[in-house]
Amino acid sequence: MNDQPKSLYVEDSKKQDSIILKIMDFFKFIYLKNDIDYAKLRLIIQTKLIIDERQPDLVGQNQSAKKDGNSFFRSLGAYLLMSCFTVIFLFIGNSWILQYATYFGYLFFMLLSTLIASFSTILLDTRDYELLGTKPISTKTLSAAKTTHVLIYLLAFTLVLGGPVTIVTYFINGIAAGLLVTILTIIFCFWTLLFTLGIYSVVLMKFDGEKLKNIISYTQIGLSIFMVIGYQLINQIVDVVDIFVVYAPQLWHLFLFPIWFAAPLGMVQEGATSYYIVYTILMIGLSLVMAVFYQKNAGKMEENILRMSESSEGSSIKTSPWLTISKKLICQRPEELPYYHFAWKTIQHEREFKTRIYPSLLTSFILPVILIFNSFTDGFDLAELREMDLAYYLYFTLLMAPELVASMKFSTYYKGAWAFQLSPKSHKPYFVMAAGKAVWMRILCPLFLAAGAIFLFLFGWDALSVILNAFLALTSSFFLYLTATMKYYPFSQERSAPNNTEGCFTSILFVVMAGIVGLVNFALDNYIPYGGWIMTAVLLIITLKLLFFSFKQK
Amino acid sequence: MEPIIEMKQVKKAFGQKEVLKGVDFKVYPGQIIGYIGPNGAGKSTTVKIIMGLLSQDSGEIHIFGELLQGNQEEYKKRIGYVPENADLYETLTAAEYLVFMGQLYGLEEAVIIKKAYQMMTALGIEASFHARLETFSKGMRQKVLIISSLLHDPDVLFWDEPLNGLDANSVLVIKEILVGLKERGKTIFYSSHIMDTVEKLSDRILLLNDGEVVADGSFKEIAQEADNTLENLFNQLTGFNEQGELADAFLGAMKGEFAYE
Repeated sequence: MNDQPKSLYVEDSKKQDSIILKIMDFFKFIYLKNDIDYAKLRLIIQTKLIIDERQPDLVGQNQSAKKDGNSFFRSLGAYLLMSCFTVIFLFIGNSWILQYATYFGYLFFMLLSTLIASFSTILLDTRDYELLGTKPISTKTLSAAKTTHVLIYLLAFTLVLGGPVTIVTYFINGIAAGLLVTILTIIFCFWTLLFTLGIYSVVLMKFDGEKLKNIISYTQIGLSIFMVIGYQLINQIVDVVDIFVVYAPQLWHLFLFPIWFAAPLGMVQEGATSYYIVYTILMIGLSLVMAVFYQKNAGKMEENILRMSESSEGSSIKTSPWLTISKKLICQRPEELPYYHFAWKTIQHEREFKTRIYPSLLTSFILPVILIFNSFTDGFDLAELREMDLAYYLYFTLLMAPELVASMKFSTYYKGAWAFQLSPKSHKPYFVMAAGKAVWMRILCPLFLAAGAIFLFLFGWDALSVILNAFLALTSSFFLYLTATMKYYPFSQERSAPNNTEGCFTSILFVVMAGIVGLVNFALDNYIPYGGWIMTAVLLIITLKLLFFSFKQK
Repeated sequence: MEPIIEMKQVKKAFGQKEVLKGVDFKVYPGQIIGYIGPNGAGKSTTVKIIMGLLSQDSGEIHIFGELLQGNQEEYKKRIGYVPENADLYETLTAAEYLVFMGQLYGLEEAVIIKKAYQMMTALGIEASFHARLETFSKGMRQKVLIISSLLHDPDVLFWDEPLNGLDANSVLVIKEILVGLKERGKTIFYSSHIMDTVEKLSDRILLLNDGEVVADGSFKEIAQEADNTLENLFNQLTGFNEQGELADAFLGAMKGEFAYE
């Protein structure tokens, strides 16, 4: 009892006054003005940042291993590299409104997809409410703490995504434009967060319990579709051929908010035209409306989030006949059967799995279609399309493989994994393979079938070998990547929001790989008779070997 | 004497399932109240409503003489809460966790550290003061939760299954702590499935069954017969006497003899 400790953060004293908290202190007055208990909010944020910093890394399994800094911040390097390429937006044509509308479109796409996939869990978290909700803290303060927690990451992400374009703007378009882009980028970050919170608020007001959880999942998937289509529309206004022509406004552009944000820059370049003024008013007006809406509803939203945790009677769940048939067809060994069944059910019922994976899958799925439609500037022509060698874009669906493998590590119910570790029949390779097969059968096959059908319609039967090759390449790369990288039991790791953006390098690798395989297919098709079909045969053998002969016979 | 907690016809349903069907009771200062009932009777729901974690569908709740409306924060300063199942911040050390919790009640860090270390020493876990909670056993976590509910010296305690995971010696210490708290004028509202403990410790027993209070009074008042035990009473009042048949069916299933269609 004599050696009582005096210091709390023995190993983390440096973290007590991190730069993030100091920046937050600078904006203390905003919190105080909105009746938020800043001292408690700061305390919550400080603790949450320490917790985030200590989350186990995606790569290392050793949870006590000390790492330097937050893994989210460490992962930003890859995004910085990627966002350097966005500087190219500023060198396409000479219309600022088009250049910056594309930039804000890209920013919205990246921010919203990250918000939905990685940070919705923080915004809609009810897990620690029993600890914090029972303490003397107002719901408004709790809600502001959550929003601030997400905002810290989102601002850092925005800085990395928007940094290169903003810096280059200062050099090529002048200080005024640079300052404007800086301010607009920061506002855009808040705007995206408020937009997401606004949609969640509305959904949370209308539903509760299990229904609410389902609706939230659908909303997240819906937001992703909206985001992809929205980005496509932005691309449509940027006419690749007639890029040097000035921007031609149309009525439907009023709904494309990235243009609103680019409008002030358009005014700097071209003067205050009436439509630029309208766009700017829309931007300022809607931003204010969203800010006021958030201010009025933040506490209420927190109370509504709690209704998600109110349990209601579950409906009875039937086993799909497709599960029964497919597991007999695809599972080579009896040891795989229970794992296949388990993985199938996990994918079917785990909302977080769906809401995390569908937005990114959708992107990989829609990317080839976007690339094709972007190739047409003077209206779509099926006959013209078939003349072009665009079917090879289908290889970009290979991007689905790393996304899926990464998501297979995690589960909301990761604690249940002890059952596998204890089971005498627990053979990890069988589990990994069976889980991979379930994901392949339940997610990859239907999605590719849809993509393949679109491509078959667009390119006709001539493209059949390319479609088959892309499918087989996707399948084999998925299983190869799965068996090479899955160090854990599938669905046995805890998802920690800030860690989930570390797949950037892998995605770049798969883009390069998709390009190479696509080129090989293209070369074989063009220079060797039946070359494409020879490739089909080779890929088929590899795929069958991976699917059915990956275990040595006893 | 004015009640510090009063529930009037509190009802709560989750979907179609009515969990509380009109719960009525009053709690007075300086009492140990054993709040018992079968699984799913609505005990935790009641406590969560009082703590502002859930809102009731109808009925009124008065706490410290004031009507509870929505999630108010002031009254929580006077309450200590131990949840039945809580997600602790596992990557924090016990010291960090307790300081965080204490600071949320407005306590000074130095004061919390001193208090927490003393309390952990009394409960025999001071060696883990700077260890992360993820390394703690279930019993150690329970002790940390109990300490965090007492740091701010509250007037009322809501302890949901406080003896979960504790070894026999620790249970003895916690029981003594409960008695000591009562002597200091605190009100303790606790739920437990250990009938023996509830019977011996409680000044008053509230038995909840199927969303309603079916017994309310001291053990002597509700016992009906002199040699009755709380366990028997519990079975009688909840209408349960099939334990023999259920055990046979369970054991039969192990051998492949199935009692149910």
